Amino acid sequence: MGKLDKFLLTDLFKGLMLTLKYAFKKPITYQYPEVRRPIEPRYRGRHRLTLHDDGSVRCVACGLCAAICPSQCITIEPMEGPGGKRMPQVYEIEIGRCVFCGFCAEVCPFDAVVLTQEFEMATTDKSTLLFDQQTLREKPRG
Amino acid sequence: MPVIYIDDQPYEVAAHHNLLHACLGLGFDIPYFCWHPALGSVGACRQCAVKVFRDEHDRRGQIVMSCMTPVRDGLRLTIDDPDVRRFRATIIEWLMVNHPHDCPVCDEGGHCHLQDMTVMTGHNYRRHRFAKRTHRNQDLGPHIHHEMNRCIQCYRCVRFYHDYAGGKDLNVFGAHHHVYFGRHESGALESEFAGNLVEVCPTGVFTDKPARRYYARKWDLQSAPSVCGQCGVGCNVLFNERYGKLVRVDNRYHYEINGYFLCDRGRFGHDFVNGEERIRRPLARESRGASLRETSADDALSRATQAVAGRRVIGIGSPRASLEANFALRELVGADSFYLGLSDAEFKSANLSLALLRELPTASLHEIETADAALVLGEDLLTTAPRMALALRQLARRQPTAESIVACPVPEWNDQAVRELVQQQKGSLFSATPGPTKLDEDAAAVYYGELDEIAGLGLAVAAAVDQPSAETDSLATQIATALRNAKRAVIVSGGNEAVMQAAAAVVRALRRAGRDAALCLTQPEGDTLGLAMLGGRALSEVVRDGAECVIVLENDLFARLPEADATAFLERTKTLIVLDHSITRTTARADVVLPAATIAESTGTFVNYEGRAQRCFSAFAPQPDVRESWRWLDALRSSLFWPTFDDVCRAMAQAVPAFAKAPDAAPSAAFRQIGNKIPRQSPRFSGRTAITAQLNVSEPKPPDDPDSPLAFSMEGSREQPPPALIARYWAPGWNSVQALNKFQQEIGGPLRGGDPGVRLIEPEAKP
Repeated sequence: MGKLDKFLLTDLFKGLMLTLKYAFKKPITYQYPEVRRPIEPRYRGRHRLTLHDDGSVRCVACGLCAAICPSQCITIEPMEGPGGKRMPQVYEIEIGRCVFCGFCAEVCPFDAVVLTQEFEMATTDKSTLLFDQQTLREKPRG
Repeated sequence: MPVIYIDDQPYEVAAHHNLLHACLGLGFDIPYFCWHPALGSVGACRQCAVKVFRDEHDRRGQIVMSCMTPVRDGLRLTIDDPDVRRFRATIIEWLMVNHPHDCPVCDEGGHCHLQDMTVMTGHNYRRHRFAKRTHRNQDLGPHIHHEMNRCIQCYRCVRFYHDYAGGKDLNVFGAHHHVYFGRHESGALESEFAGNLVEVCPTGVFTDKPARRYYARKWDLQSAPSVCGQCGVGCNVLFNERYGKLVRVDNRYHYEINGYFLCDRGRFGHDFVNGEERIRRPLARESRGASLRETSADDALSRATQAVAGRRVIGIGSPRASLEANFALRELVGADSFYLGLSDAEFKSANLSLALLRELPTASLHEIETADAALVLGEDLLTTAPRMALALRQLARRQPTAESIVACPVPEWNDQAVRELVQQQKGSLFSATPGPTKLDEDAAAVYYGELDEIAGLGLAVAAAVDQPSAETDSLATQIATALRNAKRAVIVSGGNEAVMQAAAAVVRALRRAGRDAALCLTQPEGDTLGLAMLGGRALSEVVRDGAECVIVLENDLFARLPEADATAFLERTKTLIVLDHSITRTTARADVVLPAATIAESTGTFVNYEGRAQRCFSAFAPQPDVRESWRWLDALRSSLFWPTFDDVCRAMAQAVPAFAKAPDAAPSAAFRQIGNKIPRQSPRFSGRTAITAQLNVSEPKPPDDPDSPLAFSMEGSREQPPPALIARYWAPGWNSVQALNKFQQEIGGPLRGGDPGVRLIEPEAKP
């Protein structure tokens, strides 16, 4: 850098120019929660248990998701439903411990558990972070 | 020993094995289905293909089935050749054409040999688009679930059930692609060993029906090595738990005792652990006549302590409680006031057994299987010691084989050929029982008579062994000749004193004649012999003596004493304290009931029929108010003497010389592998952090286990543990029970590090 540039504070003005330029551009900050940011299609958020057309869960409680889960936050207790069909009696995800790696959805042989784009699960009470089968069946908000 | 070359590397292998056995023993992974170390080879599945070369210049080779190829010196082969790999993958794909691919809902999933082998061969994409053949399933009774569509036609079930165990009601039907394995019609399987189909079947055709109710995968089970207490044989088992419930009982390999197989009583007889009759809280009553009410552990203990203090207390032990529990009771009440909780007949038979075992050598089940002649005196083994009956059947099958293959050299592992050769020949197995038994069909000669007549026959055999005579028409002479001609003979008896004495007389006579003979005496319960070794008074004396305060340890007096005697005795007793895990008629009359842990929840030592002390470990921590009996009994004393199991075990070894070696039965609680305890849970154990989240989102600390080197956790040593501490069979790529191959010194041989347990009785007489 030349002595002249240093004396004239060229870099300072260059920086100020950039700031000035953006002052007249459309802002990129989203005013969350009033404005919601678009989510990438492969974003991994809260789980959902997918259903058959008749409203029954697709899950057969094979236990693979619980086995692959690196944070060991999935609990499944299987049962036999009508006609000897296997289904989960208990399907719980302790979402507070989930790392959203998506292994459970990856390993599921029936696409019965998927990761939705819902990410708003903040709470002040940790015990509400245990999502049971009913919660997991619900369609994601937003 | 012959040297074989695998990919040009020389390996020394045993001459009498087939190539598959040898390669698996060397640590190579070859997929297989129909071969089983205990059942031999039939070459039914075509899965274990390898390529064999004529000599070192041959590069083309020839694909052969390794299970049907004998080992010979200089044999050259390759396991990992593109041709054989493709061949094996094609075979699996072919088997999979009709396999329903229902792994997610199959109970075998996670410990399925077919899954392991499919992954091993690399077949991973199904091309078959058409309908699959289907079968109708049968109801095979309360123990075995049948799902015939999953069958891959390896014939193992029939070869075990029909050939090995002698069952008549399961066979193979149909032809070509409609081969069906089952009964001729639905109905409970009749064999006492039907439960082994669960482990023998490489896939999910036969699964454990009681375990099915719990839907637990193998990787989710918390398990610990233990011992079956249903009879005196002391088979090694694995207890598997999930959610505080005993889910299933698996065979735990012990070369000398149960090998690969258990009886159904051992496998399915532990339902009481989850039973409705379990006592889970301490019970006490205010006064005689008041009803039993649940109370706290402290209250129950203080009541019991008050009742015991300053009074003459007598203790009644139990053959189904561990040695330590019986010892703790004996220490609490004093040796003079300790009564063995055995009926009169059991007491006499147990004491006589002990005296005879100290005099004469005995045989393990493996030694029975490999003996050359056997005589059963007075015992219906399929009810008193079923696993021993299975061992005797192997003797009867193996002995004519050994003779036939001398004349016509067929390798012993070549199962089909050997059975062609042997046909209906029977080995030197003789049976003398009060009535027909299922073992009769394997016996060369059978005798039915009253017990004193059987004893008479035994003595006649002993006399005939002593003085061989020319006349051969009498049964006694025939038996005596066979026993004299045998290199090793085994005499099995039990129960009745006169018959046991007669059996001992035969063994003595054979040993006088310079023959190697052993005496096996069955024991009715898991710790009968241990109780006799501990020593105490007969239960009939207690009725005469009576006492103000009586402590009954895991026993039902009504099962041991005549009804009138038991009632009269309990009416004279002022305070009755009972420790038990389930409700009995005795607990119903108790003043204080302390809930005892079952064998699946406690650490203890049991002594089997041959005097082998074996350690059982708790598979899961009992509920808070349930404790091991020795813990309760220790708490009844003025101060705690034994905070951990090792303390009570060591105290017992010091106090009772007969048990000096008992602490060596398994490593102590201080044992660590690379600084770690051995985990009871698999590394894949699921839901650890979520399982109790409905109670508290913070994960609780796992229960401590001060009594054993095992941890109630998935964390710990990943190394192969010492044999007494093996909690599951698993090796990389081997999730099924066949992973056992990786735990044995040689396949079908002893476990690495020697088989667990320690023999406490050494006979005085030497051959």
